[in-house]
Amino acid sequence: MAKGILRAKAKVKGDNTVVKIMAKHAMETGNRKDTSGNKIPAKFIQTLSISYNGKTVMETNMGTAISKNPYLAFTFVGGAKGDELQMTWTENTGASATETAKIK
Amino acid sequence: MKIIKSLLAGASIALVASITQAANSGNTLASVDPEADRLALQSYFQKRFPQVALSDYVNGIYALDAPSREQWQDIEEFPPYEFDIEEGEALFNKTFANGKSYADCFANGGIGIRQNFPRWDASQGKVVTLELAINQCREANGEEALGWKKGKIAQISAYMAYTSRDNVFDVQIPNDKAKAAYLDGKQSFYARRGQLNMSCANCHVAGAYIKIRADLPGPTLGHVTHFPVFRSKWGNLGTLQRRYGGCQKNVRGVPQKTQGEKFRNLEFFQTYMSNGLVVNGPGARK
Amino acid sequence: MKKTISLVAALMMVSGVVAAHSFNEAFNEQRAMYGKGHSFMWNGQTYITDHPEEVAAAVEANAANAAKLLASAKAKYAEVLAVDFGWTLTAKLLKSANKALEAGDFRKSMNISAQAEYHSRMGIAQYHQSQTEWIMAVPE
Repeated sequence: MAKGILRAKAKVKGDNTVVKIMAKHAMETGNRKDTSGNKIPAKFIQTLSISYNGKTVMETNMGTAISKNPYLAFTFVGGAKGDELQMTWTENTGASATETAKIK
Repeated sequence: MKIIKSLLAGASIALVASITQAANSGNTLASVDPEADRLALQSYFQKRFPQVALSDYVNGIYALDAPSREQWQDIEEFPPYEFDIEEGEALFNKTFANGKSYADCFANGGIGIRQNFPRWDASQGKVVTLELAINQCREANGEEALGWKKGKIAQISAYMAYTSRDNVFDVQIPNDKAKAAYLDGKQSFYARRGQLNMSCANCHVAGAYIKIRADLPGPTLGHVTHFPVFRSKWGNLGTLQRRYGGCQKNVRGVPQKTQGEKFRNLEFFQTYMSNGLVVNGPGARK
Repeated sequence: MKKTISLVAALMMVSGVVAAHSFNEAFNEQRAMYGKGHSFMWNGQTYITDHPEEVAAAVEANAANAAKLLASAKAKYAEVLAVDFGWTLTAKLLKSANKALEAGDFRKSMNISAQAEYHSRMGIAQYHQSQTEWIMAVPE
């Protein structure tokens, strides 16, 4: 299976789960110009949504203010070792995907 | 800020350097003793920072400064160079147009060999750094050389460093010519240059862990072990000699040639000083 | 630097007599305190706090002189680059000296050329000093 763009590390800590995610993404705002002077088309993550057991535990609206290879970390109540997180991202271009990560 | 164009350094050129007086022995080709130099440097830092383990010097300023160490450890949980290692691996494994690959140019297929660079190449009569070896491999196989400071060469170097993590640096000085190169590098390290009239040693020996504006320079012991480096200031991965150029510009000196003789000899000297410490590249720094 | 001068030395400075240090040290202290064109005594002789380049620039401000000084400064810069000890601001100075020359501001051009040549001369001095002075910085 092809590697996704999300690298996630999720660990149980007491009653909570701590999640750290780095997305491999250029996050082009659409304002940068290439060496010929043409604008590089906008290509950025618009939303990233993490769910556990069918329930959304974290949702972000990113956009052009977030820089390349966004990194975020959050904690949610619950989660157990061996369980899976569903991570869904959407892009301004319409592309989207869902990736999974195991809680350790 | 008004740039001070008039010379500040005129005064200090006339002044004697304020650091410890050294015996003149050890600083000519006949008398230089690299092992003694290495041990003297270790002893200098161990006296200044008695609580710091020798092996920890590979972490640079983070071995000495607790608050920035904490921040750096957080960053290392998700290192910014992770993607560069992946890309470096892909580049390393890609074959050239002629069917050969980097593995054909290096001992052990190029895996786990970072600790032997830079090396004295007798047939070429010069110091060969890892980046130079990478580009020589490319050119020998009909490929175009890569830029020296960032991008692909840094990623390939990062991957090769990553496969060598925890190997102990073992730079060799096999003969007098190599020793001359070492001495040249040593001189470069300690000589003042630029309008600000500063040497590498000013910041990284005597000035290690002493605030310079808002930064704390790291100690030169273990300085090179973590390269190539993802430097937050650059926002990307860069090679050691990229930083050399930057540092020289910082003291307002026109930078010397990347991968030219002076820089290669300087890298030779600096890496020898870190013999006995482990490879921990690629690294993340401020 | 001012703070490190002892009271006695300071009094002597004020009176224009400079006590025993090297000429360079005396020159730099005097210039730091009084700027250019200030006369002081050292070892029984009178000197002035002007660099040789500034003295050379103190001629009539005209196109020929400005061009001559600029050429000299450029040559000096090439010299210091040849020994790998150039300073980063020098190239910009040469550029603005050239710009001033083209605009007909000869005095400005000559002053900047003097400064640029001074940078290069200092760089060359640094190069020579680097052959020996570095040894002092090596930990034992």
